[in-house]
Amino acid sequence: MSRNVLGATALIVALGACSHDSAGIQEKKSGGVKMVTSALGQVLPGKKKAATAPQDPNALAAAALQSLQGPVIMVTFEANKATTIGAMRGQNGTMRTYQTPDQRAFVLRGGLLAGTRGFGRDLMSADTAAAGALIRAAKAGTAPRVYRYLDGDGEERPLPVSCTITPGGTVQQGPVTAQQVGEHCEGSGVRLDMSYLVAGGTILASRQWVGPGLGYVAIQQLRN
Amino acid sequence: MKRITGGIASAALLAGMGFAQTAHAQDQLTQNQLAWSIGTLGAPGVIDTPTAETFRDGELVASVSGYSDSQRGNFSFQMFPRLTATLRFSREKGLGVGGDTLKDRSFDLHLQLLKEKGWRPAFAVGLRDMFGNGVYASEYVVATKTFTPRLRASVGWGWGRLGSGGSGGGTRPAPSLSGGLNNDTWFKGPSAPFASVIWQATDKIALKAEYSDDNYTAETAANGFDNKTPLNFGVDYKINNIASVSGYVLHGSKVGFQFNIALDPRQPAAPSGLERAPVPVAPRPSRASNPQAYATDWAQDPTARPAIQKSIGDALMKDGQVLEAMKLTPTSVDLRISNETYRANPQAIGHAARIASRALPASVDTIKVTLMERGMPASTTTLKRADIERLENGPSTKIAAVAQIGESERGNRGFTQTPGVYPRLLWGIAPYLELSPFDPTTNLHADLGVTLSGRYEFVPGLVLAGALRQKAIGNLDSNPKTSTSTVQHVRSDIYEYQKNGDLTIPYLTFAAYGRPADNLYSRVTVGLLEQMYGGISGELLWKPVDSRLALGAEVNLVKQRDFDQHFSFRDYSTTTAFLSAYYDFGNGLTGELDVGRYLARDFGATISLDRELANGWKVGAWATLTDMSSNDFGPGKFDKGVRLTIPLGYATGMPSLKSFSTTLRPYVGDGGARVDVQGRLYETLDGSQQGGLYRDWGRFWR
Repeated sequence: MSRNVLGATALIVALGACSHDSAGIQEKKSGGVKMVTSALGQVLPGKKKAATAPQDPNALAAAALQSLQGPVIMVTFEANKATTIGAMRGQNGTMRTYQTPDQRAFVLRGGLLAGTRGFGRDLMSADTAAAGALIRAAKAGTAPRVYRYLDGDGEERPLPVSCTITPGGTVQQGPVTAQQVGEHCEGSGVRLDMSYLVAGGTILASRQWVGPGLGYVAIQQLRN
Repeated sequence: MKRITGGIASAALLAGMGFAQTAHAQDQLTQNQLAWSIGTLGAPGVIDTPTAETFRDGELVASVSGYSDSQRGNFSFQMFPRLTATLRFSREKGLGVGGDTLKDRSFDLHLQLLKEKGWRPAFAVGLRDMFGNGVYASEYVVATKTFTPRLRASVGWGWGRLGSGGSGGGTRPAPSLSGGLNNDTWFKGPSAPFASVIWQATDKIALKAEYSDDNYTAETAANGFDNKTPLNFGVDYKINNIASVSGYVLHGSKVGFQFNIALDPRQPAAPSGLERAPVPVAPRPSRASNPQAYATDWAQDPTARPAIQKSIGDALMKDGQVLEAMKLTPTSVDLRISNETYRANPQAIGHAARIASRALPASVDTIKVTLMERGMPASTTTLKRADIERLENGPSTKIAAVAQIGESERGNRGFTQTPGVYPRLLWGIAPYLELSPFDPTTNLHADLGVTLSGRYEFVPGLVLAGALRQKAIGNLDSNPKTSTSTVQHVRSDIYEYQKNGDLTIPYLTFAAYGRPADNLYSRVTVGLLEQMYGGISGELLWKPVDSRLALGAEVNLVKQRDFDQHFSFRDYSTTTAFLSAYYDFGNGLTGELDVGRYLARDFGATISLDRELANGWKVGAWATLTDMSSNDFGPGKFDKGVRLTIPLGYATGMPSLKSFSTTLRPYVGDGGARVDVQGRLYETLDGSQQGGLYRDWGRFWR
């Protein structure tokens, strides 16, 4: 009896992933099976998805510069050290959309992070104009920022903070003299510390905050 | 373009800049908050005694608790921020008639009157087991105070079971045994104080103790429950954010265990979704710098329109949407899209607008996106292309302010169908699980099998759909339960239908959807409409795009199907008809009133209320009162129930129109029953018109 049950269940689950659409739209995988496995994954302890081995960033950067045309960034998440490459997919004024090999995206406005897409707890949008002007000019001052996220309800919520920008020392990077700029933001229950390396009004590298879910990223402009 | 930095040298520089790296934003809600505690009855409580806490708003908490002589399954729902409802299925050994095991259902309400604030504790009042024989019946007032982030204590006063060891108050009146509300007994009879304390020893473990004057009188008489002390002790272990287990000792006598699952609709797997990034906007060159880019002579080229339509259609298909038709003029475009991937339609509209910005000649400065639902244009969102370029990836409120959502063009004048999409065939094989209706006196029966379903769409809105089912394994055919209804068995023969699992046809219908006039939608469905009925069903809905109010009319001429669910019919046919009013109260709250004639030829009305979050969670309740007498209806007196929909994306983080839905109906009777036709108009259109679009608008740039 129990073997019958198991056999029938296995057959049904195997069949569960089968569908066809002459227009080629409908999802292939059975939703119910996904829902159950995903729910079980949340309930059962252990069995966490193995983190992808961190790649050597130097090798990754070199390979990306060789294979990609146009502006390229390299982004490392501080929390799990995952490093990914973004190639510019769209440009709209000073806003650039960089797409990763796995079809996610980082949106930078004048080098400041203004959005992410596809990471689950995305930064939906950010008002960066005032802070960006000070940072790129390496000028001291204060500026408001507003970050926006989709909350658990699915509604967009703003997270306003107030930021103080402080220029630091200069650093020689090969032929380029770059200036360090620090930014400290507070408000809405968060305290943020971000930092930038600026040369000639361009942000070469930075440590920026994405949001409560994703933490900080290090962004390097590999090619502008 | 020049290479400006190399390697990780600059990253090292940044790291060495001396800025603190420890600042991490905490989730403000959970920061330093002692989590709520759940009692053995599934409501906020310690073990047997309640606390004045609540669950999180909208949270759904399922728990199983018990000791050797008692098993309880509790479903609690935080209906409003301060009101908790609990539905419970339980077995209590020896408490039934003649010493049998009592299989029972019970219902509790718990209302927080005051929140904890400063030095003031939280206050709550509650009614346990409000209906029927009242085996758990008690009433209480309770105060709860959090002393440190790890220590919380409660004191209260209880009547009924909670006060059964107390004194005063005279005799408590006996509960009504007819299943009605026991309001005559509330706060009557002996009463006693209770108290409890919870200490969060570690992040995972909480220790609990309580003083409870529940005498366990019935259990002592029936099973020799030994009430040694009024003190109960317990421990909670948190497995993760949604699951926990507890163990407890009751009155120094019994050891019990409890398992809890808490689903917070506001904690989806991935609030912004894991789907790939949308294609970015391609802005046009400025008119000043490149005036000839804005020329309209492309419109004279007969190959231009088909090429543009193909390009947009292909890109939309990759995005999981169908471009059904397109109307293109030198200055505007209307895209008729069928969103088959994104639960939130604004996301689909945002994708279509961005895709169009990459494919259209610069002279096209108005982009209209028309959402198609079963071939019916449901709403048209009109966007200025300049706004799409200007506001890309900005706040969703800014694009909402300039987007116009209005009635769609009806008819196909000027529209070109996208070649190669229709006729369209879809089919799939999926497993199914069918459960017997809940009945406290018999065990649950179930079948597992496969469903082959198919859909053939001749053109948008003209659909042949059917399904075939084969049971693989199960015991529904051995369910001893039969209908005892004294009226026409319009629904209560469910057990007979469920006994037939071999190659049944759950439905086989031909449906036509249309737009007969402005603000008006229509549906005609013919065939085997559902498991129990076949016939013809017609519906008309008046629903202006921007109106909170919608009105509908529906007529069904149906005949009851044979139990084998093939093509033959039983000897009962009837006509049901309804007038319906729907109202969108805002904040996701929708009410519906249906008045008319039901399947057993009874007349009456159904009132329903549904609450939907922007992430797709939906909880609703309904009640139907008809002229069928409550005796004829059977237990429960009238038809009522609750329904719950959890979108698949809540669990997976991936976009999907699929969802998990369930209906809890305490009793399947023959009064107030309706035919279950697929594709009813209101639910088909709801998410595509102004109310639904604004609710989900935050995903426009997602």
